[in-house]
Amino acid sequence: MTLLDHYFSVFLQGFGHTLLASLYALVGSLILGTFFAIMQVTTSKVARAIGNIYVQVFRNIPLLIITLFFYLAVAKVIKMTGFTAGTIALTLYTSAFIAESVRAGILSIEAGQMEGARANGLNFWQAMRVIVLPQAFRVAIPSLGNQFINLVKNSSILAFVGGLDLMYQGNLVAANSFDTFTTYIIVGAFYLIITLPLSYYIQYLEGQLKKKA
Amino acid sequence: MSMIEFKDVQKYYGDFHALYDINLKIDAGETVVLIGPSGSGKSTLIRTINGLEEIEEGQLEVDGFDLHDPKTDMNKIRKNVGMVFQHFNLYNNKTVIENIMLAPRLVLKRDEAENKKIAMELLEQVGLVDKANAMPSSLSGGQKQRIAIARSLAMKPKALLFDEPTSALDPEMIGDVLDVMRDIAKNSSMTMLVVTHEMSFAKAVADRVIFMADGRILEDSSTEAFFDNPKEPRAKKFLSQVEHH
Amino acid sequence: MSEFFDAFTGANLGYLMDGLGITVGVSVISVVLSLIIGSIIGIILFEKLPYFSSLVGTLNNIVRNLPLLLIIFFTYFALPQFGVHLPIFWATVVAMTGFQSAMLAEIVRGGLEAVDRGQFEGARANGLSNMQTMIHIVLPQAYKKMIPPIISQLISLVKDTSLASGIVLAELTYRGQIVYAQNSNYIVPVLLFMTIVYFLLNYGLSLIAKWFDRRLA
Repeated sequence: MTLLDHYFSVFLQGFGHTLLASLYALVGSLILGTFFAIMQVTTSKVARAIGNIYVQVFRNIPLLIITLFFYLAVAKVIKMTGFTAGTIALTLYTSAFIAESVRAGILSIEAGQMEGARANGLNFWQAMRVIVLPQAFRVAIPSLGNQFINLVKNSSILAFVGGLDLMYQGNLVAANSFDTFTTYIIVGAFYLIITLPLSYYIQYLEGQLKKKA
Repeated sequence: MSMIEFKDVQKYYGDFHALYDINLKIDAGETVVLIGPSGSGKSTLIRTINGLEEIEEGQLEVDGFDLHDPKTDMNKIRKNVGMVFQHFNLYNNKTVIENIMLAPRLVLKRDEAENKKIAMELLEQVGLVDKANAMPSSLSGGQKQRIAIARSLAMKPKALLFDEPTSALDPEMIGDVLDVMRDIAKNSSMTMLVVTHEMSFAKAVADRVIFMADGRILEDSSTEAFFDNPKEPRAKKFLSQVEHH
Repeated sequence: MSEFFDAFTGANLGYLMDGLGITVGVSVISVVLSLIIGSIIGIILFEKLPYFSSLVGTLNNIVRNLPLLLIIFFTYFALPQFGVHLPIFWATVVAMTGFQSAMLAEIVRGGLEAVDRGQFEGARANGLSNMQTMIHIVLPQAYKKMIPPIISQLISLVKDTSLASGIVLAELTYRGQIVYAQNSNYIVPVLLFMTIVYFLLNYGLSLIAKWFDRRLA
């Protein structure tokens, strides 16, 4: 525990960056993901194709490749730190999974809700925003929660590009203290502070949903 | 003045010819009942009128708008043509009064106090004032359908389309819904097109009856003429079948 | 444009494709091992044995909720502190297997819970033992439903192998970094090349998952 005392501020700084990157990426990927989910359920073939390609591309390539692309290639044109490059990559990558969750949520809402709203005079976006999405999100909450847990875990990708996150700081401490084992246990504990309660809460929610069904 | 007019309308689902040479004129204020065996195209026909289904050929004019013209804004038509569905399609995430007030607020930008007042009057009209703050999931089927009618009326439409409004209801609920519909037909200038199997309702309320089978209109007669002396053999057969139920 | 393709000399391409071989190797070994271990853990979670199941469940939740990168670093850098020295390849396999087993255990548990209770009762009433019921009746039905989520775990496995470049495993992503280290003009072409290779591999897998989904529906 002397190691934790000694490097506490370093760990805390890493934890802060991990939280910050996760929150930015959460907000960004919710917006992007919802947008691409809606594209995939419109009647326009072009919009559906674009939505589909976006989701398939970002789901099927490693987060590290996207991160390196922003850090090494994009950053040459637009200056950005490793933290920014990593957070953008994290946002794009996660948005593809969120798009899938939201799309599944939308498809689980009976078509009559959209039809009723359109027949009632609402346009597509009004019906989506006020009637369909609020119901779809409620259905998608457990799956979105799992995506958020993955997002927090995946934020460790920032360590590859000097993103100052928990994993990065942990590697610094490990190299400095030579006590790799204790360092990584502490790093793990910090991650679990965020992910474990969320994970148990989702299990509880899923249990509630099952009881209802 | 005609409210709805079909001229040589054709509709296909892939190779399936769903609507065949439809010619039909419905005047403002008329109450028309559309009957026929299941799969005859009644629902498809009624759903083309507010653009939930597109037509492939012919002309369809509703409230002066040409529905086959891609430039026509469907939302403008839907403001004036309400629809009541077999499965109600109430907004599951909104209370009863919010179901009624939502479209007038978003689409007509109706003043909130006025909106509330109209909604309460409509709830009174359908006999469900006490359910204003209930969620749809807590209502019976018959109550849901009366709310769905109130929701359509709140837009002050010129025409109302009913797509088998009582088919999903338990028998003891049907009367209340038909009473509300009868009331609208008798006491307003609403144009009504009703797809239904309720022959007693048709006899009592309709100005005209249209009989469809296999995507075609086979008979279009005044109510008395249709029930007293149907011209089409298939209509005769259909009537004898439903009246034995 | 010709500069763009300069990165792909025969030697570089061969070097990259050998990396793909390692990526696939790690993935396949890990998925086979984690299917076995994940199934055992999943059955333990499903059986709700007193104390033991909740202990295993807690450990499983801890592993599931940690970043894989941390588990990889831990396996390779921290275990030697206790005299466990694994070569890079096997350290990666161990880390991936540990992590994926925990993920798969949840899928197996979910799959088992989805099997109709009547199947257990029928088999037990028919004289089958608990173990026989599990092996001959319940697991085959559960696996059918689990194939699509298992394939999507395999897709994450293939993608996640790239993380092992952090401990200098010479898989595809690491070799890509070596190639563009020669010449910074190679960065974009090599990254694009890797994107395409990973995409084809994983999209192919996802099509297989879809095919199963449709057949099983």
